Amino acid sequence: MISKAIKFVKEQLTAEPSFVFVGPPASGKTVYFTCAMDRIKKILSQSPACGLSLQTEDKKTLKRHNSSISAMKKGGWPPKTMAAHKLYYLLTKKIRVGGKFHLADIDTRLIYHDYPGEVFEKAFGDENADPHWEKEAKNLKTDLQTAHGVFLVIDTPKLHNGEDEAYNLQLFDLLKFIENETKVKRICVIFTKRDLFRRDPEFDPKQHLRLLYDDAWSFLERSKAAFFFVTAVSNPGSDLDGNLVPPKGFETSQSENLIEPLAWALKLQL
Amino acid sequence: MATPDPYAPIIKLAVLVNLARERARQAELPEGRQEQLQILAHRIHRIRSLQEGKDTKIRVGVFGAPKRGKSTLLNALLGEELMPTAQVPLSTTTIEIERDTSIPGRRVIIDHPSGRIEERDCKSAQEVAKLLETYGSRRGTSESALRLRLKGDFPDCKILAEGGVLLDTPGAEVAFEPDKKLAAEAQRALDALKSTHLVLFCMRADQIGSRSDSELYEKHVRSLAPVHVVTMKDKYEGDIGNLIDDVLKNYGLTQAEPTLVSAHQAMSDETLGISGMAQFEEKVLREIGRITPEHGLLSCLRNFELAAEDFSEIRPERIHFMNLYGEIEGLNNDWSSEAIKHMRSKPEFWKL
Amino acid sequence: MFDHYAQLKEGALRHLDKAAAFARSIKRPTVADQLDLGRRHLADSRYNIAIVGDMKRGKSTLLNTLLGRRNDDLSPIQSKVCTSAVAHYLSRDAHSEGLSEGRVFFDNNKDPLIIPVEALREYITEEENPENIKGVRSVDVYGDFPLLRNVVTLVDTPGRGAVHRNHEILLEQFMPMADAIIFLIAADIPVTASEREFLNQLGKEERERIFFVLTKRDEVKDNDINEVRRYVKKQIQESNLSCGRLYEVSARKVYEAAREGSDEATLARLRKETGVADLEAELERFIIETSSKNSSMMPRLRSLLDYVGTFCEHASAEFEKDLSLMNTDMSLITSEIQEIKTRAKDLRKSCDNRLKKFRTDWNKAVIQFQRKLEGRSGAISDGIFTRIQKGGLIGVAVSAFKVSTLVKTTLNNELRVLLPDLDQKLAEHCQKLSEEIECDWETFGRSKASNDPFLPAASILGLGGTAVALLDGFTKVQATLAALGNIGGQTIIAEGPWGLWPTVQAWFGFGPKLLAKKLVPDTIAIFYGTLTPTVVAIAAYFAASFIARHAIIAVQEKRVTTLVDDAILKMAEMISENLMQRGEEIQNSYREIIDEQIASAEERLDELAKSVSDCDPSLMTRITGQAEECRRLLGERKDLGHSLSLITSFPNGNGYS
Repeated sequence: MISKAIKFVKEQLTAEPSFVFVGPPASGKTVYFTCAMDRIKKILSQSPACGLSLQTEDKKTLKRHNSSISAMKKGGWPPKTMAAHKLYYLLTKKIRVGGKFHLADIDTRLIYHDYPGEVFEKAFGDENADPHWEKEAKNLKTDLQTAHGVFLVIDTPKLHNGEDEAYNLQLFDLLKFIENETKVKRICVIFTKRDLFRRDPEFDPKQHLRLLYDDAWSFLERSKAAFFFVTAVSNPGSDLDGNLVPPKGFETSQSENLIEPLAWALKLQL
Repeated sequence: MATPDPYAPIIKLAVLVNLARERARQAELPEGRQEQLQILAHRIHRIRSLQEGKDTKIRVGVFGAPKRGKSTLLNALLGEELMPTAQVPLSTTTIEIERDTSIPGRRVIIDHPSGRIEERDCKSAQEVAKLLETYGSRRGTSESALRLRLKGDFPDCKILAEGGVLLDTPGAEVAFEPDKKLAAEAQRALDALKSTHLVLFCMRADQIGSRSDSELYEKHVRSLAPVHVVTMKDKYEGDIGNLIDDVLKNYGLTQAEPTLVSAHQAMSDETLGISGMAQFEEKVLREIGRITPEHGLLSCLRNFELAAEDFSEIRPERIHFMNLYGEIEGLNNDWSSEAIKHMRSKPEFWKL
Repeated sequence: MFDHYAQLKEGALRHLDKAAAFARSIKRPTVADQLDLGRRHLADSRYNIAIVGDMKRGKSTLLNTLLGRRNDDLSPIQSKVCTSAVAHYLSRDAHSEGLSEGRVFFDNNKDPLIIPVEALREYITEEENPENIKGVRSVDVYGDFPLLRNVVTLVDTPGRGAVHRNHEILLEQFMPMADAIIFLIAADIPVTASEREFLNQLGKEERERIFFVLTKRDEVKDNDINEVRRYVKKQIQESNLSCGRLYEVSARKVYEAAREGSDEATLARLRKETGVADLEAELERFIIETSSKNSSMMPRLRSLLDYVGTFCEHASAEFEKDLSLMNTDMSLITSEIQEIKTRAKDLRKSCDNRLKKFRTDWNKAVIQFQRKLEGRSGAISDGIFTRIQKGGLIGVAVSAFKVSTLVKTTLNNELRVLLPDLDQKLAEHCQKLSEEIECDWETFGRSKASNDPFLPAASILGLGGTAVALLDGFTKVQATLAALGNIGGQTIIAEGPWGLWPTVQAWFGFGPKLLAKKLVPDTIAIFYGTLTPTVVAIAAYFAASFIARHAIIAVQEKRVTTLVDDAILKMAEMISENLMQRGEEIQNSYREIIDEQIASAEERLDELAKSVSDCDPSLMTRITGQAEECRRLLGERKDLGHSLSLITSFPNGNGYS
């Protein structure tokens, strides 16, 4: 059974969805999908009837995932992404045989490319950014070319603050690249840090984006992108030095709109 | 929603200041500005620590190099000769003084190095002084207590009446090769600094420019937004106006004007008026007031303006300012309205 | 202060003036010049008393009191203004020009700037010269300081323990030269960490010269003063110093009384009451007993007096003989004159040869020394380098003081080995020269007629004797100074003779331009008649400072050995140059003396002959008058010699009588 599954996996390799998370530094990419994957995992495990479960494929991914979650529970952020990581998750079907669950099928293998924000800045927009990231920038472009979907993560406070020329250029370049040189099918725009906007429930980041960066907007419209306004970590507190930190004992169930983007991208019904 | 939390705006302001500080560091702003932000962050920290801490008493401590008149100054504040004083370096441990009206006379609590905690009730000031000398000075037993506490009713001391805790510390000599005894004492003083809300940094009028003061100040005290106190002002041989200039020049103080005081003059009725004691007490009380969110908020807002003006690149995103504003608005009381009014008077800065 | 010594000094100076005038009047200009030089050295030589302490301890008040000032124009007392450079206070003779002036010496060794005393504030106060941006090394303040009696230089130093560290570096450089150090501790803030640091850093010699003075006694209540005394003494002992006596002084009372115009009697009384007079007396006693300057100053003074004495005695003998000659036969006189003229020629020739040989031998000895020293340079630099490494002195915060001490010690040890040999050789050559010339003189002086030294011609012997005595005095001084024992030891290295350290430094390479100026005759004169060891020691000091100054960079660039080699070669060259020059000077002096003697003898005989043949009594009157003057001088000299003995012989101290 297992060997069959593995065989199946290997055959499916080329058809696997891989997703690239891209966005400027400190926009919340790593935090977002860590929380999202964690949530999906919990939801699936709470409803065994659907037969699906989400798990990490390799030890490295598991380790990263767990350490990020535990850091946040203790009231800190996961360490800043300093290099590109590939993280592998598996959506699997399990059937119950005897008292145990067995792996029946691998539904989807998800590969996430987590890039440091600096790479995005280097790869798109002004070419004169820090040469340190040159190699990674090339890798990013290559990964984008074979990716199934792109999650464009946008830091909402930054958007809300006003127009940024450099950022405008980066967005434009990225989207142009995606349109012309990749086979990306689904673009999902995630506006993060929604909880900061509690006092302004009328605020619509989508409209704001349209107003500020209309060139980028037209790309997005054409590719039928979906927009989501999310909170990965709600009610962040601040420590005595004034750093925003996750609240102690943080639970992903407190997040908002956390899994909707993924569900859309993966075409999951959850 | 229950009563709005008065600390909420302060917390939002802390986030703002911290973001600004980080950006100031990255943008390599001039040291002076970065330091201003640092001092502001510390002020806010102090205010918040009252919320976080278990006790709500504000700790006010005298600090300085040896023989700066710290203990004498406290005695003048208390109106009694209780702290050990002498011509030669004397204090060896910190003494905390707290008002406790439940105690009929005075109580001295001794934290012995062995771990034993002893309580002694005293009937007279001399008894107290003797105990403090025995366990808290070089004249006493060779092993001084780890900590001494004095509790009682001190009706004449306004600071204690306001709910503050006064702290007397041993002189901290950090500038030169300290001899073995002083090193332990300096360490105790520096440890006490950590838990002090309001630092009264003491310098001597006739020793302005001494390296002992400046090293201690630069290394340990400067960033804690201390009140600058010049003691023994009666010993200054020149013009009083010059004394202030001297202090400002030697310590590079730009903001705080030093408070000049003479405990010796405060002891006698004829000279009490010119001793500066009343102004000193007032200043301390004012500063204590600023540690609470009520009084602290407005001054912190002002300080932030001063620190961040002309450097628009370090100001965080608008949403943070809006959240701050929102929290202040939500409090809906006298002092919050004052703060709102102030922010509205500077809309470009506060991104309103 | 130093009343006895001051009186002696003043008396000696007057005496020397008179003696020089007398020598000129009997046409002995070289003698007069010698006396003038000696007199000048004596006038310029002073003891150094340093006043050291942390800022705001009352240094300026004490200084003003010791100077006898009635205001604080010179050394401002106010809290704000603080001395930031080393200031030397000296008094001048009432007759000398520039009674009141200041001299500013800069770090970059430019010529000193001479300014009015009031303008000194611009260079020595923190206010007007913040952090010493003007690069002032020290200042000399010449003024009317009657209490200094022209015998003592008071050195005011920048307050320690202040935020500005540059003050303390100056102190390090200066301390070794002080004969006594007054260290002030304030009773109301006793022994701070900064003061302890100072005490711990003291070198061995300095420890023995410290006077601990407790100021601001009036700020302390009577109940507390014992605790303060005990505390201070204990702290001092913990720095491995013996406190001895803690002087309690209230200079403020005296100063304020002076400022308010109290009369001298009141001030004298106050000085006694406040302990100031006591301190002064103890300082005087201590310095006279222990100052290494005494070992050069006193014998020098003594030898000058001896010189005057010998000269006068011989002059007296000459007069007597002349007078007796006047009563003899004319023909005898004429034949004497003839013979003398012939012998003079021979004498001159013989002396010339001897002087030439002397010069050759002298130079040979000097060059040999130089070569030996150069040969040792490799070993020396290795030694120094190893010790720098071992001593952990490689690193960023190397104290120039420590390195220079290390280098001085190493060089001293080396020189200690090589030096005695050189010194002995040179002394031998001098001795030989002396003896040979004496022989020649004797030959010159003896008449063919008989071997009786008391024939008229024997009067010439008297003259020859003078020359010998002069040279004898020369070598006697040499011997005394050499007997100091500390050849290359700290005391000689650290101070030039006569305390004219800046001039010495100038001589040795800091200011080659100075050689061209008026200063030259003086500087040469300093070494004229001084010791080979002193010359060597000074060169060593220079080498050590040179090395220390460049050590840090050299260590970083890993060329310590090259640095030391260079320094040693330079030092060897310097020594050799200087000593050879000295040899030449000795040669020239001898020649001058000989010429003068001969010319004087010839002239006198001619005069005598003329006077007798003309039957002119004026010569006789003149000679009688001169003989009388001579006797007076001898009398005065005897008194001075006696006073000198009183001062310099102590029951347990080093007697120089």
